[in-house]
Amino acid sequence: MPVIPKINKITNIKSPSYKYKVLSNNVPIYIIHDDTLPIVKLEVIFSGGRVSEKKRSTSRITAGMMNESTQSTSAKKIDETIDFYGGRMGISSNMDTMTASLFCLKKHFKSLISLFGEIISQPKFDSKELQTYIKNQKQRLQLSLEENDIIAYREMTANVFGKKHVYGYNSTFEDYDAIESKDLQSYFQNNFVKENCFVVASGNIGDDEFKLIDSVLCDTLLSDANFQKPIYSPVNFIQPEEIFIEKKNSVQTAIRIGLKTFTKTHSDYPAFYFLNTVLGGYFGARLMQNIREQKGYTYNVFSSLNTMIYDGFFSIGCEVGNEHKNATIKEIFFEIDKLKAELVSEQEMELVQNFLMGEILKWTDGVYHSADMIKHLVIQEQPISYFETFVEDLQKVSAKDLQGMAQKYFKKGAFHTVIVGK
Amino acid sequence: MIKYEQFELENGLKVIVHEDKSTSFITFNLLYNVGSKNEHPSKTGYAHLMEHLMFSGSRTAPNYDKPIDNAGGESNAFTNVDVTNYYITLPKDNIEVAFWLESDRMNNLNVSQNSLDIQKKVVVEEFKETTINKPYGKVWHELSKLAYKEHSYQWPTIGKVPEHIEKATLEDIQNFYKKYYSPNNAFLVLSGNINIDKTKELTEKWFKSIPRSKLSRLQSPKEPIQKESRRKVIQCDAPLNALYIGFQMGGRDDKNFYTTDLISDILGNGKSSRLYRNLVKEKEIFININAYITGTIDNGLLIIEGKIQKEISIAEAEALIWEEINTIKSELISDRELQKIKNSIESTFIFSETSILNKAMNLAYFAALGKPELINDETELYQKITSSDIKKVANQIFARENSIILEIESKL
Repeated sequence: MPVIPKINKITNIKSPSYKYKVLSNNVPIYIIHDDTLPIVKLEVIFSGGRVSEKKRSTSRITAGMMNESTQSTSAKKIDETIDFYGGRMGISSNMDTMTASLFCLKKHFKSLISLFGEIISQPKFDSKELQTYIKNQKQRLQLSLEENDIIAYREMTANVFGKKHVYGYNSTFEDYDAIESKDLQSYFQNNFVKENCFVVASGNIGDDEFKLIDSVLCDTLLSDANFQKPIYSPVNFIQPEEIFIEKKNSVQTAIRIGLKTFTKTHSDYPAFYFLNTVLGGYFGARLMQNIREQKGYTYNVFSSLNTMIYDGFFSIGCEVGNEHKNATIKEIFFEIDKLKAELVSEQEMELVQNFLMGEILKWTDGVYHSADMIKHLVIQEQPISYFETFVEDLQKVSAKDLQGMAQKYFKKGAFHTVIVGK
Repeated sequence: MIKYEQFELENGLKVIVHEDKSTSFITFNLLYNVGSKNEHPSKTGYAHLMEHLMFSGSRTAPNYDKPIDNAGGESNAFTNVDVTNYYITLPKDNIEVAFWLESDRMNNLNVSQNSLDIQKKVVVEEFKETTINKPYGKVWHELSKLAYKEHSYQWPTIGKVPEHIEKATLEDIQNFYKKYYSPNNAFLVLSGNINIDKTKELTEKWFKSIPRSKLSRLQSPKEPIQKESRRKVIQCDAPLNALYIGFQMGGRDDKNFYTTDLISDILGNGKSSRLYRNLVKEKEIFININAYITGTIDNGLLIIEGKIQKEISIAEAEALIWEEINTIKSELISDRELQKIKNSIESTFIFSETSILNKAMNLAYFAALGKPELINDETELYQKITSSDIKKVANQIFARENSIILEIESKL
């Protein structure tokens, strides 16, 4: 038996490298170039997302409908063209942003980018297509409302941020019915403008590709000289409570336990991020070791920390056999209380530290990961150097800091609890 | 083009190295040539339960996960009907940790009664989460039973019923482990920032001393040729009716395998595919629809599946699928449509090269088939297919007597 290998510390973490330029129409572009593979990825990120909605669900439906017909090309022709060139193209929506993306082989970039320009500048919002789209979305919603974990997640965000808040509301059948083409048109005109976006281009971006991006985005992106950022209304305090939704036919019950936190810019963010990892952020985390690996109550239990531009939330989730429901909740609070009462051992601190460094090294491994990282930092209005600051901050987190975080945030009565099942 | 080199140890371990210097990580992928098809019909779900138990620790690594976490790595595994595949991705300077852990658990796994009892519970919860508690979760159990009367593909990898897993004994597991977890039943792939010399040195250091096993593989019975169409109707706690139509097809070494795969792409891959375009977008019959092949080593299935719009009957939906099938049987596909499918295959292949994990898994799988060269040759095999090949194979596959049909009626 050879000697057990020594483990090397990860020390070479660096911010992702990129080139910053400005297109001829003044839109910022981040270029992450690598010519290993003949692939090109282009993303145009528009701020706003749900935050700039005047009517619920318009951001999501606008994104969905921008993948349909444009004023000059039918959806059928668009889908066929994208597939013919083996590309991936579309608009997606998020809490804070809308992203238009194109991913294709370098040799087909020229053939697809003009269509990309058309999609982001001339959507049709055809009312017949909208009707079909809404009908489908409603049936998909009905499908997802049969899943306990989805119901639990929806209830959790509604309770943490408020049922009417942009980060808290859940799409309903009524929301879908209330949407008209003119809502989408107005959301589009207010948000899909050059004053409200930036570009990330990654992969094999040579001079030709850059010129194409510049010319197509200058020709197509609309402009609004009076563009103003949407005003975000902060969350009102909501008294946490325990909610039980009965589903008689369930063999498993979904559990969500969570609370409102903060954005990435908050001074507690690095320590809380570390704390989340210790509790439920990786396979070796305490919740997983206790509830799955020692008790066998569940296939998977985790905790996660979600941050948006203006706020954030932390939650623990799992699906367990109905008979283990109460025992699982007890164990979750046992682990929470332990973090408040006892210092994390030196050994565990070091292990989580090492695990996190591996994770973070992955965030910038390869052009596409680097591009994602840069995209997230720009969305969060952080300098790219935030990345290195974050790594340094994580390395400074002590066991005492973690206990402090747990005591500060994991107070008795601070958690919203949602239970869906039997 | 994915370049690779290969060698074999005296104990039968086959090794492939693909060097990619553009990353600072390495994926260590170890595939064991055993899947649920090698299980006894009254003891199903064992290959997958074994996969869980492989994380129980071994002689010199009482905890499997901690050294990987400490090394900044990540590991996981999956089991399917044909193979069990383990993978670790970690920073290149810590690659030896993977050699240590994987060689130790190939030879000296610790399985206690306690870890078996716990993992049995975890797997039963997994069974519930993925199968019993999901609206359409029973589908694969039903489809497999309908399609296979003799072959061991008649049960899904999770097992026939939770009771099989609950009854597994320590002895069962040890026998399974001894039989299949040996160097001569394994395929190792290193993909990422590592070269052949380093791989040879580390493989010999860690795996050379592990003895071969006498492989007495439990072979699945052969599936007799299906003679008439099979149909089953089941009720589900799901909000929409659904329809699954399967067609018997050959396995990986069948001469029509790639053509059949192309046919499934023409029908159901992407928004411009025929079924999606015509039955989701134009006629609004389905909410979604897909066509794909199961891609198994032994005889597989081409499956068409969709969830049906509320006001449409299952019979009407089925009739429209058959109409599309008749079109592909009677009319040659256009050059443009054929080119579209081939372009998409080319892109998908090149996109997959962005991930060292993908490359490692694919190489290991093709190595297990005995043809690692397929990693690059597959795209050429697709490029050679003509429109008349497609018409010919469509006529062989899409016969009524070759079909299995599963109707799912919403109880809600």
